[in-house]
Amino acid sequence: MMEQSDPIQWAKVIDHTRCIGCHACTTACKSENLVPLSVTRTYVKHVDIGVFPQARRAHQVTRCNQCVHAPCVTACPTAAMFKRADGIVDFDKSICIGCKACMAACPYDAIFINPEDHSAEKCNFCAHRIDMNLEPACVVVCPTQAILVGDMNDQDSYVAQIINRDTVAVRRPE
Amino acid sequence: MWSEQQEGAGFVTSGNPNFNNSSAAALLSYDVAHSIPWDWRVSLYTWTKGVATGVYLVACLLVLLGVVDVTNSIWLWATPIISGGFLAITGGLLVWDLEHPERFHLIFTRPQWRSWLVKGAFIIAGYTLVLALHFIASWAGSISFQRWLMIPGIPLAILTAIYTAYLFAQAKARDMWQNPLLPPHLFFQSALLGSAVLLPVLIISENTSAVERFLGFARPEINLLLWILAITSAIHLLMIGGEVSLTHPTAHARLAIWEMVSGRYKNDFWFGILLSLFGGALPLLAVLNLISIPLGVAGAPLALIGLMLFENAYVQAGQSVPLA
Repeated sequence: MMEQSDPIQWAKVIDHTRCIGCHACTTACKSENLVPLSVTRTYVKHVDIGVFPQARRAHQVTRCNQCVHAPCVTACPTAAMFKRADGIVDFDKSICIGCKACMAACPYDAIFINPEDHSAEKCNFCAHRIDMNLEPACVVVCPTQAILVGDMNDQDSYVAQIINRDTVAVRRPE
Repeated sequence: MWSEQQEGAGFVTSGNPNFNNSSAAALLSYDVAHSIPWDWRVSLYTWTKGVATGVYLVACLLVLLGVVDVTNSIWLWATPIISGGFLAITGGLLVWDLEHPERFHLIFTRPQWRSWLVKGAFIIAGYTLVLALHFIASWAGSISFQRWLMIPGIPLAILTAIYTAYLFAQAKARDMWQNPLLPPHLFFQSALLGSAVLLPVLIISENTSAVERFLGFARPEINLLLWILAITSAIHLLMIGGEVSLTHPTAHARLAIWEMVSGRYKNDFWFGILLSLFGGALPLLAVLNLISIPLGVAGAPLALIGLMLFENAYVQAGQSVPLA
């Protein structure tokens, strides 16, 4: 008898110790998703720690964290923000009324109003690429493999191995 | 570029708004500013909604206590017209704040019921219906139907006044808005606004001679409104005092309070507090016969403006701490 496999649950692991702050993910995302100027679905935040000569720069890849119990989904009055069965928090611009409740609810300031179409948007895991068995644009372009995507329920995936083996953290667990 | 990042009232600036407070603090080298989701229109909407609900609730209280007769024009006409008018302004502000106002109907045609924005829209719609029926009943010459309307009207008015607390609480990472006392605070704010609006309306609308008005003949309804304004102002100020003086459990809430009290919204906050103080003290002194009634009534506009300023400080400060 064949064992029934668990449904796909996409997860993204970001290793900030590998990030070199090149902003390739930022520009790849903008290019892939036609994100206008002045707004970003993902960007890299830099902070300097310590005093020269014992100084270093830390990077934080900043974006939607695809919350399990996403507050933006709960707050959205028309279900324009919704959670897919595979764990991706996606959006439907055609029914977004632009109330900004999702922006207020987001624990990461990761949602914005697109200045061109006036609808809310954010990182959606490049869902259109995932659905075609392609990795998100930021994952493809990252030169140090600091951004990894995989199925948490597939024990052979690199992401599942990291989650099960290493110390990982959710920045703001809901 | 970093040097060109957005700044100004509409943006959440990067980093800790209280600046670096530790020698070990990391220095922010690059970040992106975020737009504040809800601007002055949402701040003003909480105020107009408070007037819309407060006028009806206070008028109901006056009628139920027998201080105002059911045939009084305040109850028959002023209450539904003022409440309805401010509710219309409230709806207008909400629609104006939408990026897609033409899609406003989607809230009603495809509601997502866990959203308090949806629940609030239906509550407001129900309250609007009550006010419309109240007005129609007055127009039709009825004086009893309006009393029956209080049965759905009072709970709907209270819900309309307080649902915003639940809407704000859905922003789970905005710690300052996770205040369990916000629903009662909004209720008392509503009563404050209602009494402050009804006071001058009652004096102007009733057939009172100019001399009587000038001398401040203390009628029971005026006295009661002055008491309500004084007591609700005191409760309002006490609740703010508790909010800003108690140490909050998270850094985010502490920073938001700092922004409200000492940061970019301090002018609105302190002017609001000062005006609310006078707006409550003058009515109190009037009912204690220490000053004249007209001077006590002069506290009403101060209380109205004071609460408007405080609402702006409170709503904007809640969104002022960067989360990214």
